[in-house]
Amino acid sequence: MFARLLTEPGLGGLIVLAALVLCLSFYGSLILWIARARPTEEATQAEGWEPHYEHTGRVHP
Amino acid sequence: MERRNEPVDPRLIQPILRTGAGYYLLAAFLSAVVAAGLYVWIRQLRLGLAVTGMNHPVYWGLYITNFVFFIGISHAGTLISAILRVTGAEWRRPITRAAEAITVFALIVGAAQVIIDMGRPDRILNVIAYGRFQSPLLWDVTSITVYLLGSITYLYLPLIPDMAILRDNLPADAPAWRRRLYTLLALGWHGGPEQRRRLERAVGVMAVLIIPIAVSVHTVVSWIFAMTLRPMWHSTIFGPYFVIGAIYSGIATILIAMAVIRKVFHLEAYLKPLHFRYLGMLLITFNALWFYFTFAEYLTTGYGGVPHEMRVFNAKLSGEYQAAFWAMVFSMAVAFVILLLPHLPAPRRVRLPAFRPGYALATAGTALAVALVMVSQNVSGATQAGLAPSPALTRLLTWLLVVLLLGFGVSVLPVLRRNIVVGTVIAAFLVDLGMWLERFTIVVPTETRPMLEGYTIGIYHPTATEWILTAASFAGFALLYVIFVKLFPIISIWEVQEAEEVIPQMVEKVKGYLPGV
Repeated sequence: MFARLLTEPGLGGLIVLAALVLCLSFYGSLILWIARARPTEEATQAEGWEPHYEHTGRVHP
Repeated sequence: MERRNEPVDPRLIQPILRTGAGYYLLAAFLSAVVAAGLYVWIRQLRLGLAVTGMNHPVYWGLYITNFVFFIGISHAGTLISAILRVTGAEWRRPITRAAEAITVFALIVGAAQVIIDMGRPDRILNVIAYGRFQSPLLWDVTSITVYLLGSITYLYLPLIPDMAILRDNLPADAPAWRRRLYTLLALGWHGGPEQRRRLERAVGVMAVLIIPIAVSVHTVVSWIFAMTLRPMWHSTIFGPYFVIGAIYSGIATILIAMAVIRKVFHLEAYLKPLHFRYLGMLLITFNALWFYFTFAEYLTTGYGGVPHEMRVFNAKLSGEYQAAFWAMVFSMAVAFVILLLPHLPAPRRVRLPAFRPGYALATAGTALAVALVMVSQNVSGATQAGLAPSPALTRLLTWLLVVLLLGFGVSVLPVLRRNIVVGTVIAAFLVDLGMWLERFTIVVPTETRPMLEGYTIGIYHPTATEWILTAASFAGFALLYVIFVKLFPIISIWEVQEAEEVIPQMVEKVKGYLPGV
């Protein structure tokens, strides 16, 4: 079965695509995880703090 | 803690906001070279690969040499940014971004070499449609794809806080597109403790992940050669040999980039002689490793004396590829000496000569002229006319070249000893030249001597098309870098600012391993 996996035409391409999708998902999730971090309560109430637009267009509360 | 109100050193932002005539001239020149490359590539697509020097049995030439070379120098970012980050080398902070940018752009240009090498680039889709995973080419496509995406992420993550700094510190008259770009890329960065913690964690995870990915990339590139049965390719040492060579050329490239950035943007306060000294020491280490692996490879082959291996061996050491081979060895040896010079004590009895620019220029100019004469003797004109260069004349010219180069070396010795930046950068150029020649001497000579006896020896002379595309590839790499420097801070502002917070921890760390403290 393993030999079939290695030698079947097209399966190699699927493995490449799967690696591509896995990478995009993982790296994308890392970036989104950072972007979604909320500021602290004290930070939002500090003098001079201004909201900034997220990439989604919504303002931080 | 919010960072928005911390003052930002204007030197770090000036390169982005101020554009001199020199920048436009450089960009125009590089664009012209790239355009020339594009023209000859389109011509190659129309007329076929017959416009190159590639032919049976030499199916891979300059393009694949460039492919291996560029994938090699992409290891700059992995070493500087990832390995030095994981090992806690704080001095890396001002140079991480420059290194990470080299990685991404080198990978893009390297991957493009494969497209350039294909007579029918549309057939790249066959990799997906019909690819079989038993092929090292598929392993290569997979690993380079993973590495490219990882490198882009690893370049982008530490860029986020700097995008926020730019978003918040742009002057009022800055173009609106810049403001939009930095706002988009900043992803709403507010610098809160949770967000900083997540960024540190993500960068740490990527740093640990990218190292084995990078090692796998160049190992797999080497296996494209080593998994064949061809003489002097089918070698178990190729994996580590290529990885060592890649990191070696990567360090050299980052040194060259640092020197240019330092000079052009007056960033001497950030890119200090200390950085060149430390990278120079790494370069010495990898130089020694490279020599060790090269010696092991050639000794094993020469000692074994297998006939089909010896045909290739002799072609490299004393045949038509001896110029490339010995130029490679000479470059690496001279680089080693130059790197070692600042660390050697000054001789007591012998007084070093003072630097004389006229003498240095004269010897360098004459050496270049002699080298050009030697190259022209071996290029198509003489060979096609059936006029081989006289061995006696070649020997005389070779010795003359060696004497001139030694004379040049002696004349610049005082400069190399005193000025570590100049010396290290010259050595870096020699290393990159040597590594390109190494890739060439790996790829081409083996193809000219197929394993089966009875085949005539192959001949490979790169044509103008290949040389122009090689020049365009280097120009394209430089152009991507030039554009990057204009859009993003080449020194990581937040990492350098963060370094001040790290000082007490470093003091504690050092105290921790001192006895009695």
